[in-house]
Amino acid sequence: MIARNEHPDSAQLFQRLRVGARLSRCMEAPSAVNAAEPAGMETEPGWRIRTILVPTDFSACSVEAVAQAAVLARHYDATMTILHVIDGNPPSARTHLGTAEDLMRQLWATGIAELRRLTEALAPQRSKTETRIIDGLPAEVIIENSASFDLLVISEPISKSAWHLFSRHTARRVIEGAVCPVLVVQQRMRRASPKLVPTSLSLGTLIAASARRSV
Amino acid sequence: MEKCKDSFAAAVTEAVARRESPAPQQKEILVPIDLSEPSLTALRCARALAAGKKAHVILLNVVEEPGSFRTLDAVGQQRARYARRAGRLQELADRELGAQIAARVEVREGNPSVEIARLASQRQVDLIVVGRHEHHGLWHWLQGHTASKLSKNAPCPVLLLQAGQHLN
Repeated sequence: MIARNEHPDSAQLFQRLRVGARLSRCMEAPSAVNAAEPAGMETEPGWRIRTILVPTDFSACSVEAVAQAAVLARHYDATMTILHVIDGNPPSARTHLGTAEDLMRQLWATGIAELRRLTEALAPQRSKTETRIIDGLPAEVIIENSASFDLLVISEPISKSAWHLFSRHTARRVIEGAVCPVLVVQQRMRRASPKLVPTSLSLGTLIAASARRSV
Repeated sequence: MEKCKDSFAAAVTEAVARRESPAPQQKEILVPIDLSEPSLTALRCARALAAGKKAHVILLNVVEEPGSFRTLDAVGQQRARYARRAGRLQELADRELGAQIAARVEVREGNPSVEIARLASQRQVDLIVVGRHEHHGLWHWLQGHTASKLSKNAPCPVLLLQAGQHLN
């Protein structure tokens, strides 16, 4: 069962955010956007992209996906929906001092603030942007939402540990389970600095060494 | 979760600007073909995208099974198999893409996801359009999807489609 409740204290803030995004859409000049549409697409009316879903957790990994979605949205005059899922089982719960309610309120506030900043930053791009924030299990929420979109844009983190052999990433689950076509965008590789990894050829040190290699 | 060094919004703006910088005119789209329904869906999608961008389409077939050793002419047998596959790909390209879209066919041998990523890297393709199959249960857990593995190793964006799916 996916929890889709909006936090009561955050609902008003989020409403303001949605209205802000809608207002910014109204202020755009649609003719300028239409002019960018490639002529060739008109010959294939069944292959139009009208709605794009891009999930983000505001990590470095999802930067490229959001950027790619913004470029595509403008190119095809499509509506880009940026989805942020408040994880029902957040990793920060382990280190959080305070009540679970405090933590959830904090996550909602952070998510709303980040989405607002992102919408404002993308406003000059003249792409039609909507935002959506839902709490629940990230992979399930994204897969469920993908049913009503023409394209889902996502980037997959570069795994650094052997843990992914047993527990698949959210991105991987979404890629394999999404209902609509999926565009997987590669995370921009940073030049890895050489690292010295001491090993005694034991299993533990070899796993550590293999994790370092993939950095 | 690796956090952004600067703010997320600033990083996205920078990435958008980078993507909009003048790109090389000639685009290349790679479509791995195993003659299944999902791969034909991928080819039709690539046709639509190529028509818009005046791009080249590369049709790639990867031969997975090893050649038979019960022959004295293993090389000749392999050559004949390559020629047969290339012929079928060319026929498919002519039928699905027509004369409007420039296409070339390529046949390779080995692990599909590795060979597709390798060709994409060698040819510096802009996009890989790939059809994905539905595998479930133990087989999926052991083997995984070629398409999923490809999306992890590919040097460029990968568009994954299921049979009958299309952009809208």
